[in-house]
Amino acid sequence: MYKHSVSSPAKETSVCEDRVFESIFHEHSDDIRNYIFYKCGDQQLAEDIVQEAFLTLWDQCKKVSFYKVKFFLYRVSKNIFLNIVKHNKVILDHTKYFVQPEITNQSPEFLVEEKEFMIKLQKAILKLSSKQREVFLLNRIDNKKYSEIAAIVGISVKAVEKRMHHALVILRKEIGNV
Amino acid sequence: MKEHLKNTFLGRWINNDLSKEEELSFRESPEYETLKKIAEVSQKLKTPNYEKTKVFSNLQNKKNTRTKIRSIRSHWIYKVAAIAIILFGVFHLLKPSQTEFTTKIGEQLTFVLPDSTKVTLNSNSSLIFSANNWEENKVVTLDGEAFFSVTHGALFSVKTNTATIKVLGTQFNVTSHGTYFETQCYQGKVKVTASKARDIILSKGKAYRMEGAVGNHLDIVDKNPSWLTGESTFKNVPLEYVLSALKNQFGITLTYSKENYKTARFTGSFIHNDLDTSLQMVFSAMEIDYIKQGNTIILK
Repeated sequence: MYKHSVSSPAKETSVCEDRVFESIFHEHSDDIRNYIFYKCGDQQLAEDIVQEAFLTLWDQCKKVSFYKVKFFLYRVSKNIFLNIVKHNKVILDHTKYFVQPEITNQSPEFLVEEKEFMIKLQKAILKLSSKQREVFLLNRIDNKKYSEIAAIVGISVKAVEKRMHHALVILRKEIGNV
Repeated sequence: MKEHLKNTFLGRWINNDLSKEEELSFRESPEYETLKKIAEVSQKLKTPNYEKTKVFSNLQNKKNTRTKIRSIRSHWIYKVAAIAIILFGVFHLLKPSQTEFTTKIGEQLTFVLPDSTKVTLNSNSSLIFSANNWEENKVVTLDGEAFFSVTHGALFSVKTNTATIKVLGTQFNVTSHGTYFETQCYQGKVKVTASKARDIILSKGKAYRMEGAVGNHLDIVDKNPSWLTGESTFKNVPLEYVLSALKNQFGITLTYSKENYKTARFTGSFIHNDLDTSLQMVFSAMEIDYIKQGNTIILK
């Protein structure tokens, strides 16, 4: 899912070029949206913040180096989110957090079993602290490496390991032994 | 699970960072199955659909309106343009305006420089100087031939293709046609500086001629250059230069093979008010046959 942006074109790529800006949007907007979604659990809000973050990038396109675009977007969208939280409390609607996965080619019993477990897991995830949740979901859903999560969230890799550890401890407690 | 509950253990486990021993002993623990299932199933979690296309088209709309506003307010090209216009204006005010005198074929022109030096320009010549900046930049640029009658005490330079003549209070003549250069000093002194050569000071009655890189000292007997009195006089001058002087004077076309006259030299003169006589004066002396067809002279 994730592609390294470092593999991208020649040296003087300008973010201000429509074509470049569009390709940046297509490369990063899914990840940014998910990241914000893990924070707020609000689909609409996440999309608004993505839009706002990219507009900020557009306004400052001359100042932002092509190679720093990714973390610029993460930082800006996080700030926008924090601003919103500060001014009007966001009430997270946890029930809309996830969609049920499509499961095919499985035996009916397994399907039921897995579905039950999935529901348990989803409920358990809501018990995580927001810090644990975002790290856990960035890793499990977006397949982000720890080093990348560390860069996005602004913590050390060690801290990512710790948050993952504690997330798993809580999830296991909530779900109970199988 | 004691150990497993500490620090980063599960974080490393789910990331496949445990050592083999750690991994194997962990598989024995009662929590392993549940955790393994959590690890598996959590990867099948999905977020609600992201309406990317809608977000992008909204973004495009807002982006375009912002671009418009910004382009009026602070687009760099406007700043650059404004600065360029201002600089251009300032440059224009500061730039010394150039004064140019030119003569057509057969014409002569007399005028004075800002320091009241009298200049007579021979035919088909030009002289440029900056009138409003004369005090700082006493230089005239000459192409062709001119006679300078310098006011006492005046100091200036004459620049030509080949050399620069520094005036030391004098009367002198300068000819510069392509690589042919000659200056004749009729009064006082002048200093000639040609590229690569050392400075040459000419006093009254002396002349210095350059044909290409070769320089020669000459003596003059006349009080003034003859061309000022309606006659051009030459002393051992390459014929080519005489031919171009004829062209400048009469506006004729001369057809000849350059090879034939490469080394020919001419001593003598021609008069400015009679072409036929002038042609005879030059070509009979050189024993050259010629045919005159209107304005064209063909040499054999």
